[in-house]
Parts: sequence; C-alpha cells; structure tokens
Amino acid sequence: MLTITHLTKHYGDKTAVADLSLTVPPGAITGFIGRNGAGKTTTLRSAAGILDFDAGVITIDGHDVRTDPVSAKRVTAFLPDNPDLYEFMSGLDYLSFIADIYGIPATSRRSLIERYATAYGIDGDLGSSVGSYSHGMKQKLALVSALIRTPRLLMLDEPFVGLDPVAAHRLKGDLRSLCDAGGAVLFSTHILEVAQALCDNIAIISAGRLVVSGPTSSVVGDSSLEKVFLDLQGDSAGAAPPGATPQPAQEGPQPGASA
Amino acid sequence: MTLLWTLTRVQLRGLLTSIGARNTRKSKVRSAWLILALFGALAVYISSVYSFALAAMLAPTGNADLVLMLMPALGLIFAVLMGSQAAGMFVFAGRDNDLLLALPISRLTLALAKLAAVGIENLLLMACMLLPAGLAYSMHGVTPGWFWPVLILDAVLLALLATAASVLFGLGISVIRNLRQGTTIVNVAGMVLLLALVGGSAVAQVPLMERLTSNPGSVRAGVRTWLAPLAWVRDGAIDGSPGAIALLGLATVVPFAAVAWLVGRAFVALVSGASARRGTAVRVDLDALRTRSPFAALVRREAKRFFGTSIYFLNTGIGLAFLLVGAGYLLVVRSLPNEWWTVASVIAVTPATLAALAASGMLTTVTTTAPSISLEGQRLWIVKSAPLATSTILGAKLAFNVLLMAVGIVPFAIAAAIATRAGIADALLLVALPLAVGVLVAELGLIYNLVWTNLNAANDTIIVKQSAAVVVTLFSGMALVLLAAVAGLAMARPLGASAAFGLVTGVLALLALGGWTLIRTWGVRRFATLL
Repeated sequence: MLTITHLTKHYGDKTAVADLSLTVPPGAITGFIGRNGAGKTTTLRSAAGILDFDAGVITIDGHDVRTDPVSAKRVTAFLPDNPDLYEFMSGLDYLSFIADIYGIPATSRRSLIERYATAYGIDGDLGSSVGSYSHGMKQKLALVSALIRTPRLLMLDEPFVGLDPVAAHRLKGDLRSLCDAGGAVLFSTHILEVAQALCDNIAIISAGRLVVSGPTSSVVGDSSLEKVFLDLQGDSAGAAPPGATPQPAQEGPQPGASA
Repeated sequence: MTLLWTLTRVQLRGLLTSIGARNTRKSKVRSAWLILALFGALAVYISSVYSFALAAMLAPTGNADLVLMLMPALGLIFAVLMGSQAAGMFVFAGRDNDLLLALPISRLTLALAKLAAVGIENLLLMACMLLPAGLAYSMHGVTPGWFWPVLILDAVLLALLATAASVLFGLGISVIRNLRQGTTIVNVAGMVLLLALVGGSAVAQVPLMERLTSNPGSVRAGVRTWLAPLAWVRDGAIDGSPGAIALLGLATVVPFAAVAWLVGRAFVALVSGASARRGTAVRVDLDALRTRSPFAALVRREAKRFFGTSIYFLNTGIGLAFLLVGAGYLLVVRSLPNEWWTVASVIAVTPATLAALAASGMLTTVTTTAPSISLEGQRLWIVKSAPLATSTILGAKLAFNVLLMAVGIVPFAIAAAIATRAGIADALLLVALPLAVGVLVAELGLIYNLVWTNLNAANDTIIVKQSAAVVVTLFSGMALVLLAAVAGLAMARPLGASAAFGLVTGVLALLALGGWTLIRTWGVRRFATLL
C-alpha cells in the first residue's frame, strides 16, 4: 500500500531522515516508533505529500507522491499530531468542506458524518465554531474528517494524544476495521503499550534511520516493546533485538493482537 | 491600591501585547506602544486640523470656545469605538480570566484593573484630542490659570465615561461573537457602523459648518440641551465653574463606578456565560448538506475566512465598502461633483474614464490574495494533503478575490454610467478597466505572498496589516493605476480617451494572462516548498 524507498530529507545542515525505506502492507496496522526528533513526523508528512523531500520515492497504492500526487492523496488520509483546523468554520462546515474536496457523494455523506460524529461524541458540537472546540474535540473532528473519506491508507501522527478513553477505544476499533476491509494504517505513537497491543508491524526509527521493522511478534519477541525500544536507544549501533532482524515489513496482513 | 496598580500594570501589558505586532513578548509590547503612539499622533493630527480650523472660523463671532464643546464629542466617539474592541476581546474574552478568578482578589479589584487598562488607552486618546483643542482656543481666547489643569482633568473624566461606554459595548460584542456566525455579524455590523460614521460625517459636515458660521448660538444651545457634559467641559476650563466641574465629575465617575461595580459583581457569571454559550450545542440539519465541486468548496472556504476574520474583513473590505457607498451616492445624486467634470475636460478624458480610474484605485486596497497564503498558517497541511492540484488551490484564492471585486465594480459601473451619461464604450470601460487592474493586482498579491510567506505569525493582524506581501501589493497596485493613468492620458489626445484607455485595458489583460501563467508554473513549484 505504502512504499517508501530511500527517503532522505534535510533541513539545512540537519538530516532529518536518511535513506529510509519502509513498506506498509494492506490489511495491517503499522506502528512507527521513535524518540522526539527521530524523523517520524518528517516521514509521515513526506508520505502525505505535505513536505517536499530531497531524495527517494514514495508510492501509495502504486501512485508516486511526487509525479502523481492527486491520485496518491485521493486514497490517503493524514492527521498531524496537533491538528490545526479552520476556526472560522463550524464543525459541520469543515466536514462538508472535506467531503466536497474528496468528492464524497451526497447519498453517503450524511450517514458517514452522522455515524462517525456520533461514535466520537461530537455530533452535538458540529454546529459550533471550531474556534470554540477544546483540543480533544478538534482531534476528534479531524479524525472524523479522515474516517468519512474511507481511505485506503490512513496515516496518523500521535493520534491518541488528547483522546478520552472512550474515543481511544473507538479509534482502535476503527483502525482494525479499516485494515480488515483491505486498507492500511501507519501511525506514530509514544504509547508503546498501545503500539504493542494494536499493531501488526512495528518500525522503529532513530536519528533519521530505520533501525528495525517487522512483525510485532518478531520485533518484541519474549520481551516488551518498551524494553526493546530502550535497548535500541542505548545501543549506538542500533542492533536489532534478538528474534528480529532489520527487515522491511512482510507483504500481506500480519496476524495482530486485538486491541 | 498596590494590588490594584499591580493588576492594572499586568492588564495593560496584556492589552498592549494583544495588539503588538512582533513575535516576542518584549518586542510586542514595544511595537504596541509604537502603535498606540501612532494612534495618538493621528488623534493629535485630526484634532489639530479640525480645532484650529474651527477656532479660526468661529473666533470673529466670539464663538471660539465652541471648539471645547465639539472636539470632546469627536474624542468620545473615537475612544468608544477603539475601547469597545479592546473591551470585547480583552476584558471579557481575555485568556487570563481563569487564572485571575482563581487568585485571592476581590471581583471589584479585578474589574477595576481590567477597566483601568482600557481607561488608560482611552485617556491617551482623549488627551490627544483635547489638548490641541485647548491650544486652538488659547490662540483666540483668554486662558486663565486653571485652564490647562481643568482641561487635563476633563480628559481624565471623559476617559472614564468613554471607558464605561466601551465596556458596555464590548460586553455586547462579546455576547454576539459567541452566537452562531457571531464573528461575521460583528464584522459586518462594524463595517456598516464605520461606513455610517464616515458617510454621515461627510454628509453632516457641510450643514454643520454652515450652521456654525451663520448661527453658532443654535449649536451652543443644542449642545447645552442635549449634550450637557460637553458644555460643562467648556464651562469648567474657561469659566472655572466649580459647579460645571462637579457635574462633569458626576456624569462621568458615576457611570464608570456603576459599570465597574456591575462588572465586578457579574464578572464570573459573564465569563462563565460566555464559556457556556461557546460550548452550547447547536442543532445541525444533516439533511440540508449540499455538495459542491472541490473548486467551489475552496472558494467558499476563502469567503468564510474573509467574513470570519475581523482584521482581514475590515482591512481588505473597506475599499469595497467605499465602492458600494459611492455607487449608492451616484445613484441618488445622478451626477459627479462639478470638479470631476472640470478636471476631465482639462485633461481631455471623459468623466466616466476618471470614474473608472478612481474605481481602479479603490480596488488596489481589496486584495484578499496578498495575505491569503500566510493566513493559512499551520493549517496549510489540510489543502496540501488533499487531492487537489496546486493550481486549483491558488486559482480559488484568485477567483474569490476577483469575485469580491466584481461585487463592487458592477454596481459602481452602473451608477457611474448613469451619473456620467456614458456611451457604450465608456460604459464598457467602467467595468473592463477596473476589472483588468483588479485581476492583475490580485495576481500580484498572490505572487508576492508566495515569495514572502509567513506561516508562523503570532496573530492575523501581523499578516494582514504588516506583512511584506501586503505592503508591496498595495504600493504595486497604486503604481499600476498611476502608470495606467499616465499611459492612457498620453495616448488620449491622438487616439481619443476611450480608445486610449481601451488599449491600456487590453495591455493589462495580457499582463494578467502572463501573471496567471507565472502562478501556474513557478507558483506551483514554490507552493510545494511551503510548510
């Protein structure tokens, strides 16, 4: 679904991402783990077509993000970690705007908005201005705007931050449903317990380089994701933990623990 | 008192920071003092011009003292207008309200501190209006020893009255803002009020001047009857009347104290009520959802941003408003002022051509494109991650700007065509020339904003009023209109005015085509590097 090949991005003299290659297969949830400043957001934004990058190729469902960005973005939904939305619009205006941009037909638009807005508890707030929303409500609105598009690839940067427990539980279910329907999810998080429980595949990035990726069971082995991650941070060579070798995620859905 | 003064200083700093236009706190406060100083200088200038002219006009009939009745009125209007904005956004919607209410401070002290901060701003304005008026009077009348101290006291007292009125208006603004479409309502109402004041003063100025010249006694009597506090300003400063000073004190301190007491008593309820109104669920009708094309959705988004962002609306919409007011004036009067006909015949153009040039000049202030990319700020990710061609995104910004201009051009062109009894060629020119100028200036605005993009501004005011893109676009537009005028005038004698300016319009249209090509090529590449 998502193939990143030799992605490199510099910010002036600083290399944010260096020669990163990663595959996110359809039918799987892939967790993207790394310290602050490791390059997660840069990678996600490059894949979403927001950030121009210096080298590499990114394809989404076979469409090159650089040469055919419109086709690539049509099947993608991206959510940044702190979704700034249009405060001059109401929640419904914003969802309607997104629906127009993505060409969601009238027949399904109403039911999709109603379904997801009710599920995430913001159906009563859609008439209010986004400027009056709390951070959590904005997060939910952004999530709803992503889910109503029924994307083939959903990329989320720290999606669980600011979500209440009910919404977080709902989100886990929606991510799994999306993958069961043949889609793919790539999300970054610092909540390693959630990543270990939810993700089929794990990719760990450090200082702009992918240090390990593979099925969660292989990456974690008999240990915990937290221990694996901390060990990797302490190991300057970034060696893979026992039981997993640095390798691209395997094609096809990986059996994943339920959330 | 120490606590009150400490709170007032903090509130004043907060007020200045909210209007300051730099990104660090210190530089924001410095720039806010600069902005206030500029306002003060503007107030001194306006007051001086009117005061000295009035005083000179009234002195021969022994009525120069009327300056001390009329200028305070002008000062009060300015102070209430400016203070209402500050009160609405700062007193009731201030981000520090939660923190302040949690501190062991009495509600009255808190209210006084907030009101005092607005009051100090109003005091600066009142002083800048009154002192030049005093100076103008002193050149034609006797100023006893108590004149200046009483005048300064009057400025303080009038500032209290202006502050009380500002806070009440500000409360109203705060309540309306929290309604659905509240910001749009406040913006449009503010624009209508501003136009009414400008238009009203333009219309009322001549009759008032005539009345002041022919029958100043009637103006004096009218002020004493209906605006007595303004008469007390004059009586206290010139006659030293203790009664007038006391009455003025009562008329100003009592309302201020009442508002301070009211705000202190109701502050928690007012702030909580505002929060509750913001959080009140508003029913939506999902069945009323309409579908639009992506382009139409983008244009609608630009419109919502325009009407929903106060500074954006007021700054870029004022030219449009003046065009519409001008159209209304021409439709009513059905003729241009005589001076226009004279100038037109001297420079060998038709009055319609002059009107077309005037409309073009007005349109150079209606460039919503110049700040539009910067106003996206950190929200740019929404359109950049969407399946939209960049040319569509940029085209929508341009389309909205042109649409807005057309709303002003068409009525003005119709009205000017009627008022100037224009022929077909001139009537077409009245639409085509401003439109060509407008499209080109809108493209320039977009290009400049692609060159100078600021996605990290602290607030919208910095982008709309001070960004390089906006300033350069404004001057470029003026230069463009000037060049078009010079080129047209140079060709008017050999070709005839209509043909000459028709040619100029054609050249502008070709340039506009080139501008769009540049946006579709270089602009698209540049947009990809943003964020």
